[in-house]
Amino acid sequence: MAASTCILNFVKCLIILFFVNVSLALYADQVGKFDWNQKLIGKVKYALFDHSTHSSKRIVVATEENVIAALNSKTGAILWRHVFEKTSVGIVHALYNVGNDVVTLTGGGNIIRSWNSATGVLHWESVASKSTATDNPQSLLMLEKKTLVVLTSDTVFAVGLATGKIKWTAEVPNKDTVVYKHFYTDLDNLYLIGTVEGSHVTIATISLETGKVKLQTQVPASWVLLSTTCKMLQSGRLICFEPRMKYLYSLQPPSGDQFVPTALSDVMGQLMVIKDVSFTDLHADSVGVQVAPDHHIVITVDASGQAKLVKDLPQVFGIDNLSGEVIWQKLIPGIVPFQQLGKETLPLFVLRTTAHFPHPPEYAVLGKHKATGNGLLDVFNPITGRCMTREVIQLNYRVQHVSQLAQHDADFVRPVIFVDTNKLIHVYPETATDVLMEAVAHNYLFSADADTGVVTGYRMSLTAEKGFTSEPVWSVILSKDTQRITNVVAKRQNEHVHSQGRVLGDRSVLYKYLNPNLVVFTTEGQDDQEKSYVTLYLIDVISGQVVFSANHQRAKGPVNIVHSENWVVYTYWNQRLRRHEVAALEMYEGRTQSNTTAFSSLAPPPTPIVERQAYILPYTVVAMTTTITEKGITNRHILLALADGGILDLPKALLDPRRPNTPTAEHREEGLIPYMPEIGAPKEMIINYNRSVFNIDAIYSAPAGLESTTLIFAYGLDLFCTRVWPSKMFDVLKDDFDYWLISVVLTALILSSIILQKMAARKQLHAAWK
Amino acid sequence: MSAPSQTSGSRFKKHKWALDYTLKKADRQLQLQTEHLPVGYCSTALAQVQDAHTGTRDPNLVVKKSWDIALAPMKQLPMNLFIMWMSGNSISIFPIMMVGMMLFRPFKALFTLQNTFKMIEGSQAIIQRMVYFLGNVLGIGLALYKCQSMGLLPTHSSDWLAFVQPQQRLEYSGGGIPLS
Repeated sequence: MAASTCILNFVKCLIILFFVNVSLALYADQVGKFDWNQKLIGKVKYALFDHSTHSSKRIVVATEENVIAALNSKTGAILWRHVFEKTSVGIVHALYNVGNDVVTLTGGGNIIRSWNSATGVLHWESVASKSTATDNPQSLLMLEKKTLVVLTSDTVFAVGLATGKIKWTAEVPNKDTVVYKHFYTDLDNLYLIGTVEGSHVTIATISLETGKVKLQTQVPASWVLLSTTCKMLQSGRLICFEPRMKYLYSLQPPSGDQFVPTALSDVMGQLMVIKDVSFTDLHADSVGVQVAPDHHIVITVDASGQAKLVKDLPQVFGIDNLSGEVIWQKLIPGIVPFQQLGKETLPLFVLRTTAHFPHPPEYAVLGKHKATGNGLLDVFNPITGRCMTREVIQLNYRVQHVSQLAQHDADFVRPVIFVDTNKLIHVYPETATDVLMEAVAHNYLFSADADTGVVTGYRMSLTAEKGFTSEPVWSVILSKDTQRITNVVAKRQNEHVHSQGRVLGDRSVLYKYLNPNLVVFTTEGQDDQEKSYVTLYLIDVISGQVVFSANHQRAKGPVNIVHSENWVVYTYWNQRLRRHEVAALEMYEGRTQSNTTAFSSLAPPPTPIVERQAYILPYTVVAMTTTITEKGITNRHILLALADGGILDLPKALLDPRRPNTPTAEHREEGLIPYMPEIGAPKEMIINYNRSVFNIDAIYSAPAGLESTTLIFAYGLDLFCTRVWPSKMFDVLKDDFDYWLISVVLTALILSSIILQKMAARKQLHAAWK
Repeated sequence: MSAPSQTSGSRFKKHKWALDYTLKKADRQLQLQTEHLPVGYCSTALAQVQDAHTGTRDPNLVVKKSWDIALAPMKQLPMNLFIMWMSGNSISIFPIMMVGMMLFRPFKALFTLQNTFKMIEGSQAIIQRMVYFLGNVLGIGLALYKCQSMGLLPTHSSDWLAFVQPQQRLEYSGGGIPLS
């Protein structure tokens, strides 16, 4: 019997190994078959036509996404690009053409680099150590002297453009009282112009060869403020705009000692100069022109050269997910995104899918009006992009919360409810009030205020005088003195959980704690010794019960969270050990289910058993999501966008908190991988092979019609769209299925069996007559 | 076959042991009375045997035969036990075939139960029929035990997990961080 148990275990292991799925590599000819990606550069700040000796029709641009790139001026294709850090270190302050090279000033005025404009290869890099980083360093290129002069808030220095050596650095005089923002040179001297608020403008003369301050003069100007906008014109004239009296003051350093005022209307014509040229992301024939700091207009140039004015950039795009081309674009005039925890968001809702035939599909985008701040709702057909109502719906209240009901009305539209700042509830479509009346009894809302640190739960009620209102029912105070709410993540509404429990090695079942109203809150804060910590709360938002909380001392965000089924996976930075870690939580009810028919938060099951484990990540995760399918039968894979440009596809089995340290036979029976502290990134699990995508904001996953497939879209600076098969493609025949061979063999066998049957019958008859 | 010629006298003398059925009945009796009959042949013996045959049967023999039929399934049991032990608890073609055979045979016997009961007669017929039935039931029990030890029977809760319905959701929630 011992031999048979050995064989039994071996066979069981083999069977289990078949189910441990590791993403395999792609064949080279499958590249691009199911996926596409677009490398983008972002909103252009500076653009230069290339002046290098080989005429190349190249434009070098620097964008607000901290990217410098060279574009082919005919097609708009990216020839080379460099993505700098997302933080303030990577901001590109200036871009200059120096012969065959392009010189950039980044990092608050401290880092100067020279790139070959044809290939993007770095020639030299120099770092100014003495100056502090400023938001707005000024720089001036002097081609004849082959120097670049840079002014930061407390230093001015000159860099030689041949080798990058810093020729001289000098501290600005009186840097405590005077704020220097502009400078001007003539051949030998550098004139620094600084302002002292409310009294005068200082002009400091510095020698260009040595960096010594020669002279300081003051020009009286009582109207000057720190925020006064001034511009240094090419001719050396300084013009400042004083908004109160709408006067323009002009000064000619170094000789000038008085500001000459002029009224604005006289000069308007001269100032309307096109300052910057930027290209929109998706079409190469549109040119964005910046006329005033916040007024962006777009000019499209068609094939015949006609230029048309297009006001504002489109906000909604319909992109084909197989080829990546933009099928339609839509501009919603006057709309501005909401701000939520420092991020901009335009909530998008699926009101009706294509499943209800005579009714067309409907999507809605919610934003706020640029001027009034009231809500603005656009309902459109996602296939064509056309608006379904006659015009954009203007709501006459400020929207504070928006949510979608689970029940649909007679036309199969799932209504959207808006909660305004007076806690009144409105619904779109307006005819869906009957659905809302039914929903009032069992729909609840919650609000997590990051400024006060209070999470409040509301219930909806119908009052005679005010209509539908929301009343607070519970509140949880996550003390705002020491911590701040940073993430609120609920489960996806369309998620279906297939199996209600997990089969253990001894063939018993561990039932999952599937609370559909559980929401994950993370807070980050600093304790008394200035050590930061991250806390995770799992709160049931109907009853306000804090189901679970976990605290990570000496840890920092940003925390990427994935919350699905009965588990939560989140990443954080461990400050003590200086590494990124990922933690997985799973919640179980136990060996029996407390209520097999329904889940009610008001009569909840006992507190769940929470299993947790953490692992080390040797890379930085920028965004994270999970695969999702219609019925939830397929395995789950977690997709992580890495900072180095890859998107990693990890099976959830690797992030299973039940992974044992010392596996026993029962653990092997269950299929648990033994615990290893590190989760690597093998190259075959990177789904975008060698097409790196940088600065990803988020990855969105959607169920495909097939149970085995999930569609993935990663967006941020670059776009990447592909399909993922977490359990391989089990419901579709393989690509090279030989239909021809099988049908030929089948037909041959059928024919031969008929023929032989007839022959045998004839032979028998013949023999019977003998 | 062709009959001999009508001249019987001369033909009769030649074939000593031949019985000629074409003669009339009276002549045939003449044949039987003579020494043409084989050695040891007694023409009246057949009549005796026939009388004996239509008489009473031996009851012991009937009971013995019925016991044989009744105990046949019981005799299979030790052999089946041995086969079970040899085939082991893994799931592969040989054990499955053996289990299938062990399960199928008693079932078939149970389906043809009425026919078998007809063959069992005698004084202890009732006991014998019960024993036969019991033997088949034990055979099925043995096959089921084998299934259980191979893990094929749905006795654990994990076997019924696929039929557990998802819990119905009674409350819905919405909202989040206020939009500003």
